[in-house]
Amino acid sequence: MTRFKSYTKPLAMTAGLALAVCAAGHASASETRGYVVSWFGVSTYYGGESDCPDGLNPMSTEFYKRELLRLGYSEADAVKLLKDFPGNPGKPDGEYIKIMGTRGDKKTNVYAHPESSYDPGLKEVKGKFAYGFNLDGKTDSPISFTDPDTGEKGIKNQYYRSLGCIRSFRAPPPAHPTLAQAQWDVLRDEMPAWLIEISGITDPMNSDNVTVTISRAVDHVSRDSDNNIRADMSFKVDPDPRSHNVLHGHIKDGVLTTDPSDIRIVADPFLIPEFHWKQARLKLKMGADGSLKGIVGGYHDWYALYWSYAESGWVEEHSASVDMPALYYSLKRNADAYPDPKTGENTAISTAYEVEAVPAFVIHTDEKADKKVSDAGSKTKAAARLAANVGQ
Amino acid sequence: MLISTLSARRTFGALGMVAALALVGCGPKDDAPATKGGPISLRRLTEPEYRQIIADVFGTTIKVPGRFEPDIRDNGLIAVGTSRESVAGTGFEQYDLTARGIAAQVVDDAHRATLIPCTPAKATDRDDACASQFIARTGRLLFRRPLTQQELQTNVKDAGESAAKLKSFYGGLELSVAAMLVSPQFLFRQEVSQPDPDNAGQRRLDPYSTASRLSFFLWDSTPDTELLDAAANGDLNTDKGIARQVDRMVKSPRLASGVRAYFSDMLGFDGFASLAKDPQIYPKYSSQVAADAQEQTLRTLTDLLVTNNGDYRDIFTTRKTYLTRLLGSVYQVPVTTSTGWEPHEYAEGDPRAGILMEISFVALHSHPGRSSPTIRGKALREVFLCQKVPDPPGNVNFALVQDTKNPAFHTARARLEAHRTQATCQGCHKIMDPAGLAMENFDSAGGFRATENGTPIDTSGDIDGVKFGDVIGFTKAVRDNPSVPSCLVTRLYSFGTGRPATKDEAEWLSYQGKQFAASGYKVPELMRRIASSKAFYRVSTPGTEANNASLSMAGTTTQTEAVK
Repeated sequence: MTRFKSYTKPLAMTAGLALAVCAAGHASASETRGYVVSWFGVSTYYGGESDCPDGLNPMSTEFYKRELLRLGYSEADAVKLLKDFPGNPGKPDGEYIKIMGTRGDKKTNVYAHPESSYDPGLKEVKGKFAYGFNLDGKTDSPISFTDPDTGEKGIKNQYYRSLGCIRSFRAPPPAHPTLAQAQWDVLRDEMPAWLIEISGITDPMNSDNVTVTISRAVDHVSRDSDNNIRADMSFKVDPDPRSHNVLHGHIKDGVLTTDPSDIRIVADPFLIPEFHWKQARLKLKMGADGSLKGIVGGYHDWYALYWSYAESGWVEEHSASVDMPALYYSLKRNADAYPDPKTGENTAISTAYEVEAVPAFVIHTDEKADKKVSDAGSKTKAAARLAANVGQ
Repeated sequence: MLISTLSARRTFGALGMVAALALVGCGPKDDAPATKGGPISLRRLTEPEYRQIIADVFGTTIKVPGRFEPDIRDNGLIAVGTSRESVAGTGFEQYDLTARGIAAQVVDDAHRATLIPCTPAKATDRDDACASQFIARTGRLLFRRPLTQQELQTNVKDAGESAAKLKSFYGGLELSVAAMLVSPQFLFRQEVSQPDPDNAGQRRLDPYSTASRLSFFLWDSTPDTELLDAAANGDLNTDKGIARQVDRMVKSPRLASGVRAYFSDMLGFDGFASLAKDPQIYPKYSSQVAADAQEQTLRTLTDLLVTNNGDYRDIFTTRKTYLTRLLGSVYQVPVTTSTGWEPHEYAEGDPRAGILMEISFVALHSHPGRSSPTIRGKALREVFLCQKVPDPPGNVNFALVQDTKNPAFHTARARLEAHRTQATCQGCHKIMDPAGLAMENFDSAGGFRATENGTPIDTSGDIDGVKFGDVIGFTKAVRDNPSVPSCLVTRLYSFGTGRPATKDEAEWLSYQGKQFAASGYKVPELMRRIASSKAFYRVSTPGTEANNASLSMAGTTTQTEAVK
């Protein structure tokens, strides 16, 4: 039998139990909990009309017609070209697709080279609230939002400012925005799972000194019969160092918060090949049901985020109504950190993403991996479970 | 269709007569008490048997499309119920479709070179000599005996005429194979008796029926060539000949198939086909979990009983099992392998010990939205102790038991205690509930729980006078229950013979039970003893069955009566 070197047990196993945990160097008992990410999507606060006092951005049929008229087509021709929208590339009903793809200078791919186009002007969020973090420590800057739940001021989330008035990024909770939901529906099956481990937990409600490890698995998630991510599955950690992040944090009143640190993790080209946040942090509420729910945020290269949409060109533009040149100029305009030493232009933008996770076994097969929880830990839990007859 | 399946349909009617024609004879000797035998049987192949035969005869690359009619369970076993089965019109259509699908694969380009032992002179015309070779060899395996000269001639003639009309030798063979696969000689295990040379006036199975009974009992499939040869040369008419074949078959890795078939039947795994769970209450349960759960239990059993030749009673207490990642999510244990199976051993004291605590038992014997101590207790009694628990009266009010959110009764134990105040319910619940309540740590889908509605679950109780404090104590009590091994002996014998044991066979079964105990409760040895015994092949003479009542129906006292 292939024996695992160490694993992190899901919360559900340990609820209500006093476990013998072997964590090197810790005199007091602590535990390590494992999770698999069950939802990930860009955080776009929904506060109603006050978010976008200038209105929402037009649908793709509307801005395509606008562009056709700007390019000199008559109203009748524009209507005719869009008659069979969305049509098919390379076919008569998709003639407008070719026109839109070169709408900047009539010869250059506008998605790959958005500066070949003028700035159509994306309508942006002007509301007061957004989720995220106070990444720069300032509470009085003009770009600051306020956390709608905690009232914390100085929240930086310029990515939301750019995206938040596009219809496909808006949905009243608990619904997820259309585009984010569609992306995750594909990603969760196609992409190896993302894992979170929290170690050094002495009290699930309050622990001053915990270590949070974010990594990628070699295994994929499975769905349960209710179409959610199956909890308590086992995942082996991908040893690729590109997706291995160790953060320091604390738990206060059941909310985990980590100190600023870079977070880098391989994703999937369908969304973005790799996330690389700077000054990133996590804020996750540890639910009584064993789940995690919260946000990850930090500064991210804004062009990489633009390209995550633009790489699919017309497909994402027409289906999600994301006017690519408008998005390009908006992200460039709203970027708020890491200025280029030569140009002085900011290269990164403040972001926040929603994260949810369910309990999972995180298994380290690397021979050098520290044994966070001994094999005996899981066996101890069974006896304890029976003796205590409590929990869950 | 060039070879008419109508002839096959007509033959079904005649088979009932064939079954009744038990011829009289004498049988092999052993030290066990003598028996008078039971009626010979005419058993319809079960779907797993059908699939296994196709794999054994034509190879595992031949796909068997579709599903068949469900089987009947009788006296706790499908193996007994198949003796009461026929083929309905719709069922025959399914057999016909399946047969055509198989036949087409057997003669296709990918398989003909392997499965057809000769090459026709012309692929576009009949070749009776080549067809005869193939049909004789294949027919012997499918019919579990050599084809009669008339059967062979008819099949070769039909294949030839079909080939000529189709201008395809292989097309003709395809229809011939399809015809054999819908023949009652294939679909039914038709047993024939003969006079027993060692016991004047008595009868026993003929050699080919002996071969079939042996092969299905030990290997869950059609006899192989060696076994058919032993039937042909008369070896199976002698004790030594039978013992030699039994020895070979028990030592074969294929014994595991026989053990799996028996336990799959005994444990009622056919019930998973219609088992449903509320996905909102039990999202972890799925059809794949159900499939894995059955395989888990069968792997656990074969590992313990065959690979390690362990004590049968330990199936209730073993901490060793096999898991997939999917099962690991239900059992909440880590599983390293990404795909497939890996061994797992629970810690000392873990409540998961034994197959009763596996999904395949606790989930199978539960309601879609809640567990059921009563159903589980009943299943334990009937499956493992061979005790018949009467069905509830028609006028029972189950409202209280079903109300899992009743604020006055947080646990199943509390609800059942209230329910049992109804006098008509007390007797049966006394024998079912303690065992079922001991398994209440496991919900309807097999997940662990320590509480129900916030109240700790009490799993203490007693079974047949043996008290236990928790589920671990319960598994030990079941393990040591004297009815457990005797039930296996009786049921395994019925599985092999396809009928309930008779009252006349009670003494023989008791003797085998003692031998089973003396062997250390080794199942392969028990199977060897049964397969080597005279009783296994003894056939009652016509007209005596009425006086030789079924043991399982008349010979057991229900626990309800015992409690009273």
